[in-house]
Amino acid sequence: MLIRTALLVTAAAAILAGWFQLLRFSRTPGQQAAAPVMLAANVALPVGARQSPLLVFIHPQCSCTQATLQQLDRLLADLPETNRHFPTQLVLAVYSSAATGSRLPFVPAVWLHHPYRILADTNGQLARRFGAATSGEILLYSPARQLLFQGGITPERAQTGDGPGLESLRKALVSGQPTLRYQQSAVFGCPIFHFPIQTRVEQ
Amino acid sequence: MNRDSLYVGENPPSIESQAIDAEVRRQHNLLCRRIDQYFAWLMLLQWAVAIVIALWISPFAWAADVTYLHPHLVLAILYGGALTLLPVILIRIAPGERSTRFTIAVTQMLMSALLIHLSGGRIETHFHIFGSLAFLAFYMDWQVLVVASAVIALDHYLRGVFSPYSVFGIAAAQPWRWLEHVGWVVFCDVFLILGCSSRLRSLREAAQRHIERATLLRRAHYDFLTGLPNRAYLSEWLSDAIREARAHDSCFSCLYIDLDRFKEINDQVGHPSGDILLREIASRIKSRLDDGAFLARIGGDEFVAVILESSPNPIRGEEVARAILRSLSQPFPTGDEQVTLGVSIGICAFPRDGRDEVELLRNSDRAMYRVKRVGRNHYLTYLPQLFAADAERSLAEHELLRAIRQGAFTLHYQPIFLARVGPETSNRLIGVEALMRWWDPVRGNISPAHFIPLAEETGLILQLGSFALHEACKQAADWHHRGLLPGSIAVNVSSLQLAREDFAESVILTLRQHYTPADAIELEVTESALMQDFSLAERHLRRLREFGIRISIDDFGTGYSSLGRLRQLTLDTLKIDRLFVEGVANSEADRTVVEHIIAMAHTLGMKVVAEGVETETQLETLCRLNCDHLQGYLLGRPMDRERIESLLIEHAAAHIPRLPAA
Repeated sequence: MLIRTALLVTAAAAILAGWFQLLRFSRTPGQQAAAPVMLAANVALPVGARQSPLLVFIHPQCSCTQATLQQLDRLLADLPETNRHFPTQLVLAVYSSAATGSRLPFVPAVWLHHPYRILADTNGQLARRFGAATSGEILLYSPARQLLFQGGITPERAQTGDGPGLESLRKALVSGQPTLRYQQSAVFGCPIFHFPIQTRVEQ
Repeated sequence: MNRDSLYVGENPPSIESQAIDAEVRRQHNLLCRRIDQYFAWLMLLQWAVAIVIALWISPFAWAADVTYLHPHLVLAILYGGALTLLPVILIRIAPGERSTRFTIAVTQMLMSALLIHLSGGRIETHFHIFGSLAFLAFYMDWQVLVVASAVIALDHYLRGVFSPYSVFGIAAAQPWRWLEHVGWVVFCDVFLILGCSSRLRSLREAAQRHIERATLLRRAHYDFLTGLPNRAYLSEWLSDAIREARAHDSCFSCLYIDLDRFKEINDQVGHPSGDILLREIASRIKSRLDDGAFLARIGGDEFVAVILESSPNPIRGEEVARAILRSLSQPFPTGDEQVTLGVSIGICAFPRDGRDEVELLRNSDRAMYRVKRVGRNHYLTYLPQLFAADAERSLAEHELLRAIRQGAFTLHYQPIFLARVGPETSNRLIGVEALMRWWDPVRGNISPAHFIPLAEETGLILQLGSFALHEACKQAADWHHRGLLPGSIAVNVSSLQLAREDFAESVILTLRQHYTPADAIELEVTESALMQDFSLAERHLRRLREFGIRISIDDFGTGYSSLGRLRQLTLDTLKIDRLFVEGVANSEADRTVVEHIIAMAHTLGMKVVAEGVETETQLETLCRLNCDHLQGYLLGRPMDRERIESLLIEHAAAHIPRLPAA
């Protein structure tokens, strides 16, 4: 009886700790930095002049980012081009380095069924410029290069489903007006950088 | 309320209801143990699946160029391991217990939550919750389902508190959203609990049928009073035991145990106390048996025990018999009194003394009856040579009984004459004695010396005695009414007849039935029969003399009697045994004895009849000694009814020629 009680108490403590750890990991957002409100003209993006850049910063090895792409895919399916305020161009800025390589270990087309472009972000220079410190951060600019949305669109780490971030991006795409900015929508994913970046970047 | 019961009853449960509850609990426990085993395997499988999902979806996490194990994988291994190993260990050490299935319910629901999380919240994995609830419903315990549902509800609620958007999506602000999610689980629970109730009812009905069947079997095979197996069960058990013994070349002994005079004791203490006494007796007998022995109650006061033996001889059986005798010799307390009783035990061994259950029981029964005849309260082992005579005797008893039923017995009559005193009284017939005769179609006349002792041993003398009295009364009435009977017909009475409480009244009733005058019948009783229960005999004789029936003491001088007691009785005739008459003419001693017997009898007011007069010398001597009446072959042999009637007719004509010597 004593052994059974000790077993139950120990197991209950371990289970409680595990449950809280799971919850903590799932809802602990990644680091965010303020993106430039206006996109500089010298930033070269594979986006047409009248198109609205929709940037997604990805760490190639982050499995949680699959959820971000699934969310994005669902959103774009719900909002065909005709329903968007501006025509958009989806750009996947993939972190690459000597360690990670330049190829994605996963095929985005598995989750994304819309046209996109891949931009190799060597050593994360682009991400640093846009203040994207966590894989899965999304930035939406208008064709006039005004920041309309910054943040994540998953409710939890690697979780799909409705959330304020997804809803705000939808509104931004439809209205063409700014909805969310820095730290107004948490990003859940792996850090793109090994160390924290500055909270403000050069414009 | 019985907290262990699966049903809450309003009234105190009856014994049968308790038995059904116990059977339901037993079967439910077996079911829960089985389900526990299934859950153990399921949970181990789930743990493996969780690890596989984590490996497949998110094996590693990165920070720039640094990789490390994804927390999901770590949690799948550790957290998933805790959720799995706890119930699996409990299933191993405490299967079927309520705490185990409650633990399974909690950990199974948390595992569902983990799987949902690892799969990224996919809607498909949510069905794991409902599948788990359905599996938990196999326990047929609604509280388990409630606990499981409460865990999921709490998990959902807490996640909703800490991370509402992850649980409720965009509509997190709506407070009823949590209820909507949990409502599906409650909806599922309602149907599952209804199913549990239905299955529990079926389980209870099955338990009830099982109990009823067991009760019927028990009543058919067990004695209600002592709880021991009954005769029917003994027969089955012995058949199996014989089969086993033959297969393994082993031996056992059979003890036939019969309580001595238990009927009298039962009448003395009363039947309720007698029942308690029997239970105590059974308990004492059982306590003397080995663990592998078998004890059955096969009759009112009869038991049979079967003891395993290590040799063909019933050594262990005899040891047990001695132990039983010692144990039962101790007094039994019954209320304010103490009762002591004896027991007769007959023993036989398989395969030495019998090859089937019928033969074993018969031989041990015969051994037991031999104990009864030689003194009771002892044991005897069956030996074939010892009971060979019993077999013959048993056959003779059977033939005697058949002869009685077939009416093969008749009465013959031997005349009794007045002893010659002078020419005018010579050869005067004063009465007849009725004697039993058995004529067998195959063997002819059977001597009374052969069948009378057998009849007395077997108790058939009662039937013969009754027949003789009826026939004699009928004949006496006929002769009396026809004016042929001088005096009376003497009928012999056995000690067994005299020992019956209703003897005197039955004799009077018989006379009345046949309209026989009382003085037409004389009863002859031996001195030994009188002394067996003197007070009872005295009461009978007094009653009969009051009615007018004459009494004579037969075979005087050959039994044992107290002259002082004889003096208390009022007897009419004393009959001197032929043993003394035989030597009365030649032996001074015999003559002296006879002389004194005659004097004593006359002093007491009795007439004297000398039996077995066969010579003239005996006749003359007896007449000289003042003997009153004479009987013997010299004067007249026993005759059938026709011949004696002819003699009576001649006598009635007042001239009775002296019969020539036969």
